[in-house]
Amino acid sequence: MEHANEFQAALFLLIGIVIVGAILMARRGRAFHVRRIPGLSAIDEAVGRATEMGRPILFTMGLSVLDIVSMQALAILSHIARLAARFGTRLIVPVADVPLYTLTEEICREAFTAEGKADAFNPQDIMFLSDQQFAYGAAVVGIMHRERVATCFYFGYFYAESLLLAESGAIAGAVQVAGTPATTQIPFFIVAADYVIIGDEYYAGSAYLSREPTLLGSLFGQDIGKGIVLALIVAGSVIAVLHQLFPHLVRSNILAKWLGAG
Amino acid sequence: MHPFAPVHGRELWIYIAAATAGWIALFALLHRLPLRHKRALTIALTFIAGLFYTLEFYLPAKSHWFPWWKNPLSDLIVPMGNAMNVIFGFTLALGLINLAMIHGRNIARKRPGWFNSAAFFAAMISMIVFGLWQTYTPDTNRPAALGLSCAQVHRVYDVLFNGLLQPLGATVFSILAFYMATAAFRAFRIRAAEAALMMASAFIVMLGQVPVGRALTNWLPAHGFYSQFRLERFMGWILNTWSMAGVRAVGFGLAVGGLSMALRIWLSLERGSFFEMRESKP
Amino acid sequence: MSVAAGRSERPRYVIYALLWLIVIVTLIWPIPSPMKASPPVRSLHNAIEALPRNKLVILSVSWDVGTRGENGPQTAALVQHLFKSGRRFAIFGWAYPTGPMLAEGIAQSLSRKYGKRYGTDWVNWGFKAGGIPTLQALAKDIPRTIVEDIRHTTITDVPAMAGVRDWHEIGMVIDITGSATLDAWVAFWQGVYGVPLGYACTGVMGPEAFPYLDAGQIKGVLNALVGAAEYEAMVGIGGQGQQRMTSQSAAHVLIIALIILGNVLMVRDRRRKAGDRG
Repeated sequence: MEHANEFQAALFLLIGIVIVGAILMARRGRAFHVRRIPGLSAIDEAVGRATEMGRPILFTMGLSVLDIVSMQALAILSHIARLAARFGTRLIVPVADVPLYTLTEEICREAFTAEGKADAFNPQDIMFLSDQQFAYGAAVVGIMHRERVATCFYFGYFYAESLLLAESGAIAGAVQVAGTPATTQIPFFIVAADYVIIGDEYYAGSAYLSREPTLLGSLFGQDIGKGIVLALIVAGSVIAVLHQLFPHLVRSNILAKWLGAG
Repeated sequence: MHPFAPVHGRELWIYIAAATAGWIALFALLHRLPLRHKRALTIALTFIAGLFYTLEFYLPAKSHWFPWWKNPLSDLIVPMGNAMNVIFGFTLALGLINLAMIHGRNIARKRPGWFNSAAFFAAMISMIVFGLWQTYTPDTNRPAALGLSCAQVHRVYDVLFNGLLQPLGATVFSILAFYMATAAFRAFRIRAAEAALMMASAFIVMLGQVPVGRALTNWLPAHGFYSQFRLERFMGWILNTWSMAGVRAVGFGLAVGGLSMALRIWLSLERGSFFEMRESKP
Repeated sequence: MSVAAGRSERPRYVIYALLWLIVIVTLIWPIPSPMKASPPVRSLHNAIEALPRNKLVILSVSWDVGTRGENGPQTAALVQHLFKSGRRFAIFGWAYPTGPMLAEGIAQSLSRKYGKRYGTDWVNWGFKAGGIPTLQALAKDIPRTIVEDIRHTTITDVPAMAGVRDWHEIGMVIDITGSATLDAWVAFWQGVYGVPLGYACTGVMGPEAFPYLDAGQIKGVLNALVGAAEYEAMVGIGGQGQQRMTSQSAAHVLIIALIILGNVLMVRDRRRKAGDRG
């Protein structure tokens, strides 16, 4: 399947139109409800805790490179940076990717400027450590203990360093909020962190925090997209079962063929 | 002649010089553009870049209705891949330069812990020098330079890579095993029925993976109904049914969420604190 | 550190010491135990055995020194199987620069044991930095994408690469990884061209492979050190996988004991608090 067939192209177009359509509806004033996501609601609380204790906040994106996962993490960072600027709390952001580092510094600077606290922004607090997994992990653990951070945020793509960071944060007594699309690391965050955002709650993060119509519309559109995928799964399962039970009537799993699996 | 055929010799250097001069001129021009034009250019380039791979996949290679049709983008996949190879190679150098600047500042200003930065330079320089040197010298007793033979250069590299880098990297990763043990003691608490279920599954999977666990149920028959209760088979059942369903469900959600995010970025519809701040700037 | 803080740190250090002791003792004095291959491991083994001998196997080594404990024995077991069965393979890295170098060391030492020669029986393509676009380009034109092997020989001059132009000449890709690289191979090689895929991963990534295994998108899985040990048993070789299973067993038992102990202590503390209140 070097190129898409008509069914696959139509499916992509359908999901794309649904998402873009929902965004346009939201921009025209249609309201969309988002259920409470405890992990995301805890962000403001966690920032408040750091402010009360007079200790810094640590935000890390793990080993994320500049892609959609890190763009989502940056959207959340932007929200946290604004809160930190507003309350006068120090925000430390160690980064493991050079292109991402330049964008991260820009985002934090803009957040502080938007809150009228441009002078309070310390570029030294946004640092590129290393792109090597455990050099980065070890350096962040060192920062956690030396700076005695009160709150740790983990948003981005993590690998094995997730447990290293989360357990170190727990030992340091920090409140920890984590969110990652890396399913392999979710168990470690659930054990060691206080709040965890699972699966596509991660991609709902920016919409949830900002309540911006475009993002809420996109969230609604992707839920409809999931509904379409679910319908295809059910249809495919039914066809597969019928093909097994009545092979002379249902000669092949046509849906599987259309999706390039048959 | 392929449009992206490699060139050599003087022609290659002319291409490099012309490309460098062209990019410098282009960046100088882009730097002078007003912000709103930069934004429009960013949106246009983002769209075109995303469009390339999308169209290459969704346009058919051939068409029944138009026999003359051939997907024109497919021939560009290999040159694009090679271009990405080169661009990603630059990021390695970018990382090194950035690190050198940060650690250089630490040493110059004698910040606390500056000796760690000195260690960084020592490690980086020795690894680069001996890494490249051993690549281009044969492992023989022929003299190399600085009083070292080629074989000695290879031995020094062996010490750095196999003797230092490997054990140090493996050691730091091994910390995870200890953290896992303390996390298990500290945090795995059965406070609800779901937690008890999760714990039971975890025990079965952990024991089913190792010989001591398999030995616990070795006495059960290897075939038949009761063979299902052998730990390794029970573990397989958990992984192939319950766990797989959960992983698939999360995977589908992430995939659609990722598609939505990708669409927003491709069509420059992304909104939120940062992007609105950029727009409100004059 | 205050006395109180030190007291609260004590359990942690005891756990560390216990784990260290158990692993060291069982590494020095392992208890040999026969390993029976599980269905995913058997599937991978059989898939490799069924490959046509004129096709090249790609070993995609996307692991670093950190995951050498699991991926190293997996790589060694697979290389030995390929050597024993007389199948050519190419080592290739696109996620970690050190991957091909680590695999090179393993293949070099094993080639001496099996009398195999670099360039004829195997080749190392080295590390290519481009990510997914490189994988896409590789499928369409291998010589133009790889250009040179790790020893700077033009790839078309390497005897093992005779006749290898694109995905048609590839019998199988085996992704040996400690990172999230499987999705890319499934999406851009197996899904597009139908090239058979094998997977060897760290333990934490194993559950993610089962949906693909169930759907037939990958032929088999070596999951963690136990996967390497089972594969060694299938191929009929000794190796680090089997040697380290005693340590793995002991560590698993210790962690289960710690979880149980932690819960027992929690129940005891609850009862004590209830007793104090009542």
